[in-house]
Amino acid sequence: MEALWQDILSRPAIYAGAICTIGLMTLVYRENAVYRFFEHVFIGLAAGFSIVVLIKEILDPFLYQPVFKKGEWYWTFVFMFGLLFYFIHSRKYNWLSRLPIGFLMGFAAGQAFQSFANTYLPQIAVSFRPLYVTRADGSVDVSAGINNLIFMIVLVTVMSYFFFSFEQKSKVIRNSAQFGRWVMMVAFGAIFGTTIMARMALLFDRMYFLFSDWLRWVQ
Amino acid sequence: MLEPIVRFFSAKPPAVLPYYVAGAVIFSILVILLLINLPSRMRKPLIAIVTFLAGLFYAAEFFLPIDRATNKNVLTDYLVSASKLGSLLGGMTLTLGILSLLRVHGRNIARLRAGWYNSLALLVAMVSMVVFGLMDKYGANASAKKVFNVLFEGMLINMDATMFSLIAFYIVSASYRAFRIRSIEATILMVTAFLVMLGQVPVGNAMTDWLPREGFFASLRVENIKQWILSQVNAAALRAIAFGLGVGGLAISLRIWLSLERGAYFEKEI
Amino acid sequence: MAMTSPTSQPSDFWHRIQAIDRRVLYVLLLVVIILPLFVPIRLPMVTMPSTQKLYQAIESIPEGGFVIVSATWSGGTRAENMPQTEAILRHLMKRRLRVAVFSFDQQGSQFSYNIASRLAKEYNYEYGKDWVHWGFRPIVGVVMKSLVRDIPGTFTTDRDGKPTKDMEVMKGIRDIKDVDAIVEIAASGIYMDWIGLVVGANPNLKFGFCPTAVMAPETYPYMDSGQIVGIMEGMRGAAEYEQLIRATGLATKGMGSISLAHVLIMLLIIIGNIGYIATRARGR
Repeated sequence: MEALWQDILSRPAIYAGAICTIGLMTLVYRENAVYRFFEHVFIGLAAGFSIVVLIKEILDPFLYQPVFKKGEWYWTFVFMFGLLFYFIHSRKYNWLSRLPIGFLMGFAAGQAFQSFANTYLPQIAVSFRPLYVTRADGSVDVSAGINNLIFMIVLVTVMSYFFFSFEQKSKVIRNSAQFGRWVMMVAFGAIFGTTIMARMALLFDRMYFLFSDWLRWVQ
Repeated sequence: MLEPIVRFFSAKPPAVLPYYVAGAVIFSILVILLLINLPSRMRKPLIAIVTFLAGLFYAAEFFLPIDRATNKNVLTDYLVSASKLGSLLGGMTLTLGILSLLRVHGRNIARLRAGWYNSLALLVAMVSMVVFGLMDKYGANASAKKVFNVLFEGMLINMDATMFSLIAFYIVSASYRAFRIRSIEATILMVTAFLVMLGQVPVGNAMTDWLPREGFFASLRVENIKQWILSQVNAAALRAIAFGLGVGGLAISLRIWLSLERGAYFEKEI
Repeated sequence: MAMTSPTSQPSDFWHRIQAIDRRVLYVLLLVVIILPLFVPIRLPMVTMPSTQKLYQAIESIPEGGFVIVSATWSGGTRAENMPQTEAILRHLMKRRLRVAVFSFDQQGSQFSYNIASRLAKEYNYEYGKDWVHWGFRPIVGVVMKSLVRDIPGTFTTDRDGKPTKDMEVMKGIRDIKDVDAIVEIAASGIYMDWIGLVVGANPNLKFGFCPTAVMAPETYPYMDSGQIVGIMEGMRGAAEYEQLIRATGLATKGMGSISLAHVLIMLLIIIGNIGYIATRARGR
């Protein structure tokens, strides 16, 4: 017992983490009081951490330091403008919160032009691929040519699937769209496959934490 | 002409600073009072103007020609200030939900509703995190730092990770129950998923490890099949989808910027 | 008591294998995840070209080069993003490159600071001289637009409020043209913002992305176009990277468990489909 107590005192974060992990994992069996308790603690800690970050990493460097250390008093206006967000909780005056929300939405919308140009123009440019590809030694690279052809067929057929501006009466367009639908399934299948990887990794991390970090049964 | 305004908005020495800050607060409160009494018909146009001006800054900064000598246009120098403004303003949204949390759970405790002790745990956890989180930065107390470590690294992070990891159980159950080859599409999806799954784990790699690493037969190794699916078919299909998303996203941005967007949020009477 | 006719027996079997109790599935999953922790499985692992490209990009940076690492992730995706962050920082520190870390996620800021501080001790990296942490930024676009033009102005202070302009690590760093590489470790589509607002501004800039595995396929069009130089795909990518930099971390240790979990899921899907096909054939 003494040894256990010593261990808890030397690694309190690990023990707390293990208890919380097991508490939340009980949900897998069924919804229960233990899970609900830890769920509330989790929300409380996350909310508390947001307040800490707001003070430590936002208000301190972007308001307190510039205003009171550098004399840049005009940031006070921005802070007061930001307080309008909190009118969202007022039934009568919640429209005031739309002013800073609109401001931030405007900022994002204004950047969309540059973002679109920089993101998609290079994408369009590299989509036109040569079908006759040669290697450095001058020989013909047949597989690269075939791959380029497949790439362009997939690109065009998937795009044709999304032609909703007119009715797809032509047989060519209809078949192209159908093929596009199939190749999209290939992409979605790939996404499903990688999703499995992602989720299993998360569960492995928990088990590793319990058996290695906490119990020290494995290295 | 602009010089007095620039001088007015410059940094002030400590002796006069409190007056300027107090002045800014009082002025802002007066503006808010004015806004509160603004007639309904003027509210939407005001929001539209604020949204448009904010968007105009970045749009103009992008479209205005650059002076070759300085590699700048008239707005370039204000990008840093805009970044600080955006960071302060955006950061203030972090705690928007806290008031609701306090109201709901405070009421639960005050009225001793079912599960009030959970609400109490929530508030205790929140207050503890705030106290020890701030002491971690502003205090020199080593014990406070340790407690913050328990709360952040020990509890918050592990709980966050556990919450997400629960999906692993459900995805196994859902895949087993719902993944049926009912159509050509479902069959293609499953075959691709299997190939990608095999290609991304060592056990799959081991299955075709006997094949040569170079030459034609190397392309039949499962990791190479996976790579081909991802880089040829998947990349092309997702690029086609991305083109549609990009054009749609640009159109929506334009509609938001010009306050033309429709929907529950935008059309609500204010 | 319900009577079961002899002819319905096989049908019941095919139905039954489509409806295994969820708790049985959960136990099986736990077994295949936990078992390799005690009985390690050694299997060959091939490095994907996407990981190799990222590694080569970091290798090609000249000594003393400046790299920005953005860690936009939180505890929820720790399993994938933490080994990625460790692997990248380890590689950068091994190569003695100057490193600036920051985050667009509130938890990510604390996380990346903890990881970088730990590795800095291991590699004798001095804070302010070899590395710096710029802290947390809540809004993505405004910060990216600003750092393209003025990095010291955008990050005037570090995470602790100390001025960055006199720090040795920032010496000679004015704007994006002075940056050799940016590596984003994220659980979101933030790579689109980097590509849209930053990447094109410096043709020599190498932009690497470390997404969660679920996001990896959607980033391939951008690696194909060269806008992303290389990708570390989730935990598998981290394991490959650990292999490249010769460091065994969480990702490498997890590959056995994850392999078996994949096999289990594939088997379950196959069993479910055998039952489905048999039932359908019987129905006909």
